[in-house]
Amino acid sequence: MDGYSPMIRRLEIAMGTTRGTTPVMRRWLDRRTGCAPVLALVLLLFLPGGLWAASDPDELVVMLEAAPKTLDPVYATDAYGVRIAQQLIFEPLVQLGDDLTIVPALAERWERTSPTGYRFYLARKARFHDGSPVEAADVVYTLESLMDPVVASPYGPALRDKIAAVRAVDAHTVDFELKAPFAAFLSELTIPIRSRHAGKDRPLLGSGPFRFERRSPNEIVLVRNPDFHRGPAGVERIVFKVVKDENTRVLKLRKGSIDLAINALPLDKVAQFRQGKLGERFTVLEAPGLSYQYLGFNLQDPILSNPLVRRAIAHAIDVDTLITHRQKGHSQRATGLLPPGSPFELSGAESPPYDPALAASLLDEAGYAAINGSRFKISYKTSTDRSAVIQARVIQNDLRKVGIEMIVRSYEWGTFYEDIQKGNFQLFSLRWVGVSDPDFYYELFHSSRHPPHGRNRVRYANPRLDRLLEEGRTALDEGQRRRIYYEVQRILARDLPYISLWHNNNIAVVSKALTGFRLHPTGGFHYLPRVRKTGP
Amino acid sequence: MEYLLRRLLWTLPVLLGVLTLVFFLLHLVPGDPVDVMLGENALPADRALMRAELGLDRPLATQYVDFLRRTLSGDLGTSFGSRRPVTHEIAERLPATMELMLGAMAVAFALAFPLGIVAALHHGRWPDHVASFFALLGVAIPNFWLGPLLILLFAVHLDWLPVNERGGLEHLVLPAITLGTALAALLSRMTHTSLVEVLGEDYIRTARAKGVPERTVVARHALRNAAIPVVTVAGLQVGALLSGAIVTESIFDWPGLGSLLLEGIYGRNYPLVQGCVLVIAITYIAINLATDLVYGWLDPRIRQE
Amino acid sequence: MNGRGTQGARRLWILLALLGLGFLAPGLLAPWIAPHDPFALDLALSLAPPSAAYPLGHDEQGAGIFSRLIYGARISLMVGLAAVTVSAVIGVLLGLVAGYLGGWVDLFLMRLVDVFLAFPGLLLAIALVAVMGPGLTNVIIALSALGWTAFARLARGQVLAVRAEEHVLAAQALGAGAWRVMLRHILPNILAPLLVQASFAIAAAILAEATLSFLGLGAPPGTPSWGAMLSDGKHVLLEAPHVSIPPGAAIMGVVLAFNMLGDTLGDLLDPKRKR
Repeated sequence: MDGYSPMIRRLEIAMGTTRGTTPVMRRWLDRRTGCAPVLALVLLLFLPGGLWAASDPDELVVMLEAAPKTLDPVYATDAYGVRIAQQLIFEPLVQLGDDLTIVPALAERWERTSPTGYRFYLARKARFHDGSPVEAADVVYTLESLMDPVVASPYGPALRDKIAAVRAVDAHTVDFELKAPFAAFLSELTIPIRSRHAGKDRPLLGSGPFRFERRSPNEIVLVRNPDFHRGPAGVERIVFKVVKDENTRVLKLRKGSIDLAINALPLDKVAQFRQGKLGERFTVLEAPGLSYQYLGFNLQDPILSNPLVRRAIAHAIDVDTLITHRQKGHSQRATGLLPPGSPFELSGAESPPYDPALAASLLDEAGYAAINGSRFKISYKTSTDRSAVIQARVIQNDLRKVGIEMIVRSYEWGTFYEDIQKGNFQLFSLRWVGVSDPDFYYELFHSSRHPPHGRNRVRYANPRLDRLLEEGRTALDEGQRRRIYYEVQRILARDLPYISLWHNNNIAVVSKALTGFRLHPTGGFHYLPRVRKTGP
Repeated sequence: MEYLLRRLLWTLPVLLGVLTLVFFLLHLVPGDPVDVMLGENALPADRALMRAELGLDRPLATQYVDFLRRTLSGDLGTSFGSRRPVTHEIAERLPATMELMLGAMAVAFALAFPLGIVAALHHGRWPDHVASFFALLGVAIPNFWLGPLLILLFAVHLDWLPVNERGGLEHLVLPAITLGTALAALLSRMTHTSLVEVLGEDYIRTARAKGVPERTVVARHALRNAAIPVVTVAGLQVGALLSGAIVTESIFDWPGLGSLLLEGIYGRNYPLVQGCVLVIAITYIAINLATDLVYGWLDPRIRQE
Repeated sequence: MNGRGTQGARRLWILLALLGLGFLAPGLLAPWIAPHDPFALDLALSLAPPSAAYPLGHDEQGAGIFSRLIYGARISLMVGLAAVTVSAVIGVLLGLVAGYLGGWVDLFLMRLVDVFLAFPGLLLAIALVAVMGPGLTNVIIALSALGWTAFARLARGQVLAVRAEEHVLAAQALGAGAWRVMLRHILPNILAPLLVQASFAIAAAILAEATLSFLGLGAPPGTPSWGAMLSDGKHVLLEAPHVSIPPGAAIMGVVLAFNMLGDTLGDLLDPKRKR
């Protein structure tokens, strides 16, 4: 087989893969005058099966569902772009740990100097990929450029809202001054630190365990940074392969060209990697994650503003069946926004159980008697995502049984999103990801946070909750914070602006050739630098 | 020459029309590019700033005039999502689409000629019926069904070919068949019709009467003349092929212009979509023009029309 | 000649019977002949294989595939016929005007046709559906926006061909208005090729509706559209091919039938035409 490889490479060049921008036609024609047709024939006869099975022990191949729009941490907002920038190419001041506490990264340690002051001490050995040291001035530069309105970073507004000033005390010490006490401040500092010397030409110059090498539409290649201050990574290269079609993702994993897929498989296709031949090649890791799937009500809608109706709908939906059959058991029933195991989670909380009879009587009580089996019509908006559409149809089916006629409308994402933002909906279901600190409740339910000022998409407004959320933000005592958020959860469980559905588990399908991989609660790439690969 | 000039001149208003259509269509589609780009934690002030930066705050008419002016001077703008020049993004994807289309053309001709010839030589008898039926089938089978079926058969059950991803020649086989089948069906019908017609011409009868062997008659004389309309039709089908490429690329994760276009629409990436549409329209017009000219050159009667 | 004619007529009747019994009747009578409610789903029966009560088995949501297939005929035919009717009316009117009036009107309309032809068709449909929102009516409008060009070109060409014929000239000499000449004297003479074109156009429209539904941009979720069923089935192709084969075969069958109908009509209505 080896004898063919130079030819393969040449043919690949002829086909324009290695250099994506060369006009393929001319090269193709050039080749044709030579030996390409014969080669092609040889390839067709002998090569299928050989080309993609080759596995390089220095190369970790990770599957992505979609190509990140950009890896530039100033602008990256999609999950993969953020993860690759934050966890591999760059390093933030602090990072989210396995137990959802904040752990050191570029900052070795930190202290609170006043209710609004923080001091960070940077790792002295940290270097950018061009060899220059990571200094306090770089931290100042990063924060100031993100907060600069002209830069128009999506991260600017939240930072401007909270930070009054960032100052370098000496080369390795930096002070933050906040506008007001903010309990969740550290969790906002997982921002990649950029070099003040990089400028516009080198947006991907980081200090993380990997350097950016190249990207093409379906591939991103990173190479090891040998000088990483916490020791070099276990593999020489990480190749991210973008495979958009979910069936294809399964097939590619089965064919063996991929080492690792995190949360990239349809849930009904996970089980096969645990058994039989595939089970010998792969390990499936599964652990609770930080995502929260919910059903949102438009609280300004005349029908849905009635809490009885919301409660009735909550009792009418058979969430457990959805989890069993649609999530294939890979999810935990959610009782609220916070992930199971969060220190702020109200213990003993329960979601309204499935009880169609109770739902019907609640609807009667609310004044919506069934006429010819129908009480009222309501619309449910969703994107065109397949799972989301199926989920919608199942809920439609459940609600039909209690006399609610639900019309499902699926919109292409941009349209759907705009409708949700503008309040142009009655029911929808979406998912929050990466929820760790309870301050997120402020963003979702404080009355000042109705879009476009925040993410209170359901337009919830409750002065008592507003007050609690404001107190929770500034309360720096852990016990006091807990008491506040327990009360927040009680109020929301009574008012039901959301129906909690489930928390998705993180699921990683890992080749047995890998050692050192662990699942991070965010489903992120935090452990990729520790992965080693033994043989193919 | 005058004919050529006149034709070239007429492409300008058509291109202008295409640009106008895509511009207004995009700006009418609900969904705000600034929302898609900034996410929902952006403050109104930032939205306004971004809108200004992208020039979206100006009156639509101003934006339109500016868009035309810049496009005509060859500037396709900067992609909203990646903030790279649109021309770079397109240049990166164009080779993949061309590769796919060439592959599809190759498949189409490789299937169409044998089928068409067999049908024509046995005109009215069972090989004709079989070939014609296959041709009809080829047009009727939806490519978004054919693609997955081919993957299931050749990549999964038989394991002969890779699942997807652009790469060597063996990666091109299934997408090319998926995209090329409908064209193959159409061209085989054309070959058939055209060959039957040519075989009835006087000069073929003369050749036969002179005792030229049948194989030579068909291969040398008939086929060459019969191929002209077939090639013309193939050229005219480039537009349909480009539309088919959008679906084929989405099935096979093919990193071409079609998938770029879909991403652009979903992301409300106005400059990117406008750029893609312009490139597609120019390709379409150029190939039509070339087909016309070649046809006119081969068959002088056309020019008089 | 004669033999060919009767043979063609026989083929026409066979095809019409096939379309009528195979697609039109099931579509029209769906509520009475479908054994089960195509909208009812039962997750416990997800992907269940064919059984006596459910001859084609269940899809991923646990709905009966056979019943959905029957309802699907309704949607495909309705969208196909409606889209072609709308595009034929618009296209023929514009084509008549262009061909009859000629000059700048003709030039303008034909360049408009060129613009639509140079524009990626699927993109236009996606954009239109996105603007107007999903739903079958909007799919029909989007497909009509794509389909009118072919009719316009054909009608214009036919007008140019019959414009100089005696009965048209006679009508003009008698002082008939432009519309009257176009609709009374020209249109009836160009109906035959338009009918052939309509048959092909229905096939194309059905395929296009399936494509849009396949991309999730056609009928609302849950609608038993063949394209949407195919899209559902594609995701479980490996473990349950029985989900996507029936709708795929149905699309192919109806498209094939309309294409053959077009062919046969062409043979019958235009004796000069050799297949």
